[in-house]
Amino acid sequence: MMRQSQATVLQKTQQVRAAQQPQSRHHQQPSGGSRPAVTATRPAAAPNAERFENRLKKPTTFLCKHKFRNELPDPSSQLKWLPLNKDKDRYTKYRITSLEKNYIPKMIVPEDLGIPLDLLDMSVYNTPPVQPPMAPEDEELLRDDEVLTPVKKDGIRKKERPTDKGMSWLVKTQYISPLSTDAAKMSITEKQAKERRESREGRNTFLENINDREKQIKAIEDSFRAAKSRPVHQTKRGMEAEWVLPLLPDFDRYDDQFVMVNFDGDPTADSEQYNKLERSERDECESRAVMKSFLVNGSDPAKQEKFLAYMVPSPHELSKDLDDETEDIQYSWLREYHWEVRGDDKDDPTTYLVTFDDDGAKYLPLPTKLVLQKKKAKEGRSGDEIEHFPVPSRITVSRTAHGGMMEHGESSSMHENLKRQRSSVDDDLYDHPKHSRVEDMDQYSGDEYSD
Amino acid sequence: MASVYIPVQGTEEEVRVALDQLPADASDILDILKAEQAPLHLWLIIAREYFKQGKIEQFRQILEEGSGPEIDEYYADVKYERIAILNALGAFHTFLGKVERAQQKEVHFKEATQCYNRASRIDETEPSTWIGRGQLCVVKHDLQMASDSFKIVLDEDGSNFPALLGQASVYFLMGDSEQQHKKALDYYRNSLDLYKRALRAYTSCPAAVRLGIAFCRYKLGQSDKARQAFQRVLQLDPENIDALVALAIMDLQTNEAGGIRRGMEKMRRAFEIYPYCTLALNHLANHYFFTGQHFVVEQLTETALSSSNHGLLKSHAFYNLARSYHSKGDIETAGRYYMASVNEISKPQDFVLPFFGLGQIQLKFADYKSSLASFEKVLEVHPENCESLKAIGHIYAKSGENDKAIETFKKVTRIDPKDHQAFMELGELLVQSDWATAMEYLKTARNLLKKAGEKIPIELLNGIGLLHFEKGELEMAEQSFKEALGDGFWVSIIDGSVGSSVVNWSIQYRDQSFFQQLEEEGTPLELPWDKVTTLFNYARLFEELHDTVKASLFYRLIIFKYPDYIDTYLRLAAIAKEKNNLQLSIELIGDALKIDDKYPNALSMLGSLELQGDETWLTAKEHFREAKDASEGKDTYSMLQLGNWNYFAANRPEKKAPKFEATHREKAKELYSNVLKQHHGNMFAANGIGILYAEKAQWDIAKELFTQVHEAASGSIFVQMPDVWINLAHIYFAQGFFQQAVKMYQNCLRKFFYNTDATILLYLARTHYEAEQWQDCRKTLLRAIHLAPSNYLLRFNVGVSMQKFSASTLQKTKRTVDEVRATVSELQNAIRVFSLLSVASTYHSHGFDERKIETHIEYCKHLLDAAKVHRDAAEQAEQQNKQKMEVARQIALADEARRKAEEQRKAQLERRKQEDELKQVMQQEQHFERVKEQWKTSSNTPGKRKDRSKHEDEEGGGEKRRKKGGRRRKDQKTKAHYGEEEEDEYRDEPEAEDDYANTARSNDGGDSEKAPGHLLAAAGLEDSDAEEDDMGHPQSAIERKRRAWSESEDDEPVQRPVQPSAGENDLSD
Repeated sequence: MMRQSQATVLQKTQQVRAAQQPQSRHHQQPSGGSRPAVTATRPAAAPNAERFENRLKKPTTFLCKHKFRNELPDPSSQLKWLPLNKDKDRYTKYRITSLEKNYIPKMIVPEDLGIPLDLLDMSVYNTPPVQPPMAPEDEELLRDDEVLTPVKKDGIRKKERPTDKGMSWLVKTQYISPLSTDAAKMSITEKQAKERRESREGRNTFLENINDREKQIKAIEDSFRAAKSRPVHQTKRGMEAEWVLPLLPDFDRYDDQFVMVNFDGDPTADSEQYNKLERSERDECESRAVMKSFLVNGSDPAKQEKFLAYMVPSPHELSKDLDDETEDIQYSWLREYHWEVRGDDKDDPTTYLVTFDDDGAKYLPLPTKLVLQKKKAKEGRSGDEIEHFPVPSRITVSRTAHGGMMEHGESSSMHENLKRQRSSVDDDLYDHPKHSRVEDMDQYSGDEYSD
Repeated sequence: MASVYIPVQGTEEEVRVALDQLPADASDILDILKAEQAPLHLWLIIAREYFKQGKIEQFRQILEEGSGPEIDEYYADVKYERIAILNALGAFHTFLGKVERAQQKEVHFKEATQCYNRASRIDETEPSTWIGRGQLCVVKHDLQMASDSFKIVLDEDGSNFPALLGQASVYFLMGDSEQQHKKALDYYRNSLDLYKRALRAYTSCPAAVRLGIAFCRYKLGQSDKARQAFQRVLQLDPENIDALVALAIMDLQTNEAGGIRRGMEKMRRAFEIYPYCTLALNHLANHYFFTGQHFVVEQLTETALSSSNHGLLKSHAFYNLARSYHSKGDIETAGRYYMASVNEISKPQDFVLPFFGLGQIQLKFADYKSSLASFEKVLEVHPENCESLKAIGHIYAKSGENDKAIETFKKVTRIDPKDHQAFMELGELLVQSDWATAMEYLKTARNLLKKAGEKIPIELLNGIGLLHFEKGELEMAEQSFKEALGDGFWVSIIDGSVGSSVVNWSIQYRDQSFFQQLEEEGTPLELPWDKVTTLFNYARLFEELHDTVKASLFYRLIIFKYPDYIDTYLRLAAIAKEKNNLQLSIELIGDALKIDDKYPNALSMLGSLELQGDETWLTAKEHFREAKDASEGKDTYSMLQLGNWNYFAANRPEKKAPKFEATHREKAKELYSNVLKQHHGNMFAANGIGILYAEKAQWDIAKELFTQVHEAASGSIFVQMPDVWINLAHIYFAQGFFQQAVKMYQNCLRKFFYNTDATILLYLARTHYEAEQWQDCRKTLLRAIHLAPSNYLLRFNVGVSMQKFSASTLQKTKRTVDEVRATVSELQNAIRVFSLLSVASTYHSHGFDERKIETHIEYCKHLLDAAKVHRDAAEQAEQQNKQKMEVARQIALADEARRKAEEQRKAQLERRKQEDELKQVMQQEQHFERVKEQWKTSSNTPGKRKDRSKHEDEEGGGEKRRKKGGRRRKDQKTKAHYGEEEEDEYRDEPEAEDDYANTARSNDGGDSEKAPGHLLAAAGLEDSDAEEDDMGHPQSAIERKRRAWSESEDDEPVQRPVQPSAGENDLSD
């Protein structure tokens, strides 16, 4: 109700004068007496019924006429309101606002960061063969006071179940989740790439993990002092070394990549031709085997199948010298494998190959393990998905000046079914196994022969 | 002078070609190159020279020939050179695609892709081809493909310098486009690592490479190292614009005076080195804008706009132009540039300033919808920006959405409690709907201004004073007006040092000689224009304080200085009207009409005055109509006055005809209704309609209307409306609710008129008259006579009330003598009143004439005669009553005497009874004495027995037992009479008990009749022992003995017959 009256007041005030604001108090009005003439005439008039019922107009001895009133206030009696906010342009004229005072200009970086890569003239960025020493100011730019905690990206590892020669009837458990496999592969791939880049730079990850430059220097000096001291047994301190051999990297082979390959069976067992050979001759053939990865496009373009091919030189080719560039050696395509890459963290290898010589022991990291399964052994797959393609009738491997690139031979069917594509994994798998034989038939390690 | 030597085929000669004199037509040089089968690297050198000289077409011609089918045929074995040419062509198209518009851009990108594809077919492993692809993908903003391309190169050669730079820039751009801050930092970190590797791979690389390190550090928040890197770049290359501008930005970002100065200095250096650096141009324009050099701002900004396609940079440039025009007042141009600035950015977060400017321009053009949208954009970025909020509140107020405006300004006051502008806006918005809150806000604004040391605007003080005035707080209002006006000539008027003399009082209102004389005497009369209105309000306040002298002086001062201020004439006319000087009032209104003969207020006021005259009431209608016409029908005041005039005309006595009456009332109703249609809350129109219904005796409708108006008026401080109270009281009177009518009249008198209105007192008196409350009627009329002594109508009514009172008293069946006497005196007074009135009746200006008065006098005389008869009868009745009372009194006295006599007889009877009782008591006492004597005689016998028992004890034990029992009885009697034997009593106590037991045993074999007697005696004796044991003090012991004696006397007669028999038995035993 109060709001109603206020609204009423609002409209009431507006009606009097638009220019004049709230009205003033209504002061005393002049008293209006009754009109004598009216009363004088009234007694003479004959009263009628209606008038008699209206008490206000009933003639009485008491002389008083009740008059209704509607006195308006004086039109000029209201106080005058002066508008408080007179400036019409107070919100439209230009003013320096708090937005401008507090505006912080942005750093606008050129799209090329101010470093033009002009292919029209690449000579500017050709590195000179002899690098001058780095300027001290530039060294200062490269120094970081704060070091972030290194994050190791470990993929999902699978521990290999130990197998004995005599228990070949046990089938390894197959973990069939594709997610973990892909994750592991991706993870390893990144690690491989990182390791390779770092190894080419000659950087040492271990040293870089030390937080401070001074500490790094001190650690290096400590390691030198530790290397010169005589080694002692870890638990039996009383024992003395009979002789001491220095443990050094195998510098001759350190830049080569070695992979340990696990076979699920004797690779030449399925071939009748090789089964007839004597053990020694067969071993000789296997030591010269070549493995190469391939990628096949099937009926589904989105789905590609990759496999590893195992090729062995023909028995009659053993007399040839592989290093003779003028001769072509003929190979037999024996089997296809599905392969799976496992292994240690490339930044922290735990598996090494150690060779003992007279003048010292030499070691090589052996971080990668390749686990092979025969391609046709996967029965779980649908028959429609397995596409059979004709096996090449003959394969010839020849060495060229550009490296171990395999060229297609006389078989024309190879072109129709096989398409080679580059990938970092393919390079790892291209091996020339050396002539060596591990006693355990289930494990075969290939070694690339040197030129 | 550089030259190339083209070997001639088949010979050992060479053709020397000067590079600065290449032929204008590339075909000439192409013919030589083809004919001689020159090595392809010479083709590339010549093409590059054409490019450096700006001859793009010749450059393209040579490269396209150099990569044509013929080259594939003749130079099949030369791979690297062919790839180099294709890469150069691809880079060329990449560059064109970068700078061209949308349609051409795609064409060039396609061409570049084809060149790189052909190069890949030649040698898939060539790094430069992949670097070219990466560059193309960067320009196309396909960062992932670019990254893949650079990685292919780096996988082969981790130290490939261009690939490192490319991959690093890709990571940086990925960081820029990444939304998550953490991931972005990772990208920047990767980018930094790659730039470091690049620097290690090429220690003497160009200076610009360190820019990458600097920018990455900046993005990672390592400001010091970023500065260090930028300074290193400048150390190696003092004219590197990017480093210079970056350092300048970092200085400006400190937002300190020193930093800003250093930043602007660096910007100026950058501008001097390269006049087309957009960032430097923008910042210099900003600087010159603040120094007011608009021409320089325009020049710099136009250059900036033509030298960059970067959206944000162009937005800045347009904004600087817009600001320049805005501050110069060119609103339309400023609006266009603000719009252009806004269109260059994708979201307000990028650059919010032009939205504010655009909102201001749109508000200027009253495009409220667009302006509101613009300011809302600013609030998206800065939700608590008070400037935008106030602008939005202003827009709502302009659009009529007061609630939203009020809410918005309240939000501003919450965010910034010291913003006095927001409080003033709120006060002005609320002054109509919520004056109390408006008062608070205005006071807050005043306090804030006072604390800030700023000058308080006169409008603010005037507003506060006005609200105090309307609220009835006149002293507070005066204080505000005084503060608003400050010092001036008016101060001397206020404190009475000027104009308070008696001489001034007699000066005519229209006479200005007073002020002229003051000026001649040297008193300065200064009245600034902005203080006139407040002075008017102050004068109006003096009117309300009934200080009309000061009010008049103020009004006349205003007229003296500003003769056209019409309202002052009207206020002076109102003062004259209050003093009943209608002639002067009309003259003053005439003066006002001379200034503006169409001024509605003056015409309305003139009409109101004319309405009161019998000869001029018809003219009033003309003036009301003129006022209405002057305002083109929008003046509701004049319409209301016309309505009131019609009502007045309908009630005129001389034309008493129903037809005229109905016509006027219909006209009045029409006018009132029209006003209500325009303003639904107009209380005067509603009151008028209520009056019309009341005239038709439709009480319920009229009461409803008056009640609503009454409630509305009660809730307002801007409208004082006593009329509706009076009208409502009239309705109650008409309906016979006299008590409520009395209440309403009294409340109205007290609230609005300080109980000093004679007319309302007359209404009140008649209500008492109708309610037959004669005494109240008379009292009220007497008060009215005090207020209006010359109103003879009131005196007539007093006589009538006296007459009525007397008549009603005489009509009673029983009357007291005092009542009759009062009636007689009242009638005598009435006769005197009427006789006095007959002298004045010659004027014929009242509601009565001589004949009516004579009638009343005759009637009163008649009543008086009757009253006297009644008085005599009453007196006789009183006499008889007195006699009866006297007789009754005597009878009462006689009864009283008789009652007393009877009381005396009863008293005597009682005395005799008492005497008889006394005699009986004396007889009993004598009897007690005889008993005592007998007790003394019997006391000797126990003594003898005692002696006898002693002798027997000496003789034998068996006999001792029997004798001991007897001794116990004697001891008791002895104790009763002789106190000195107490010691004996104690000695014999244990023996007494034994004897009692022996007595019981001896009786077992004896007679049955004797046993009960022994038991009773034993019981009595036992009681005595108990009483005796209670003795204490000697005196109390004596008293107890007396009681025991008296009690024993009572017991003794009962025991006496028993004892002799017991004694005999003992003796016989």
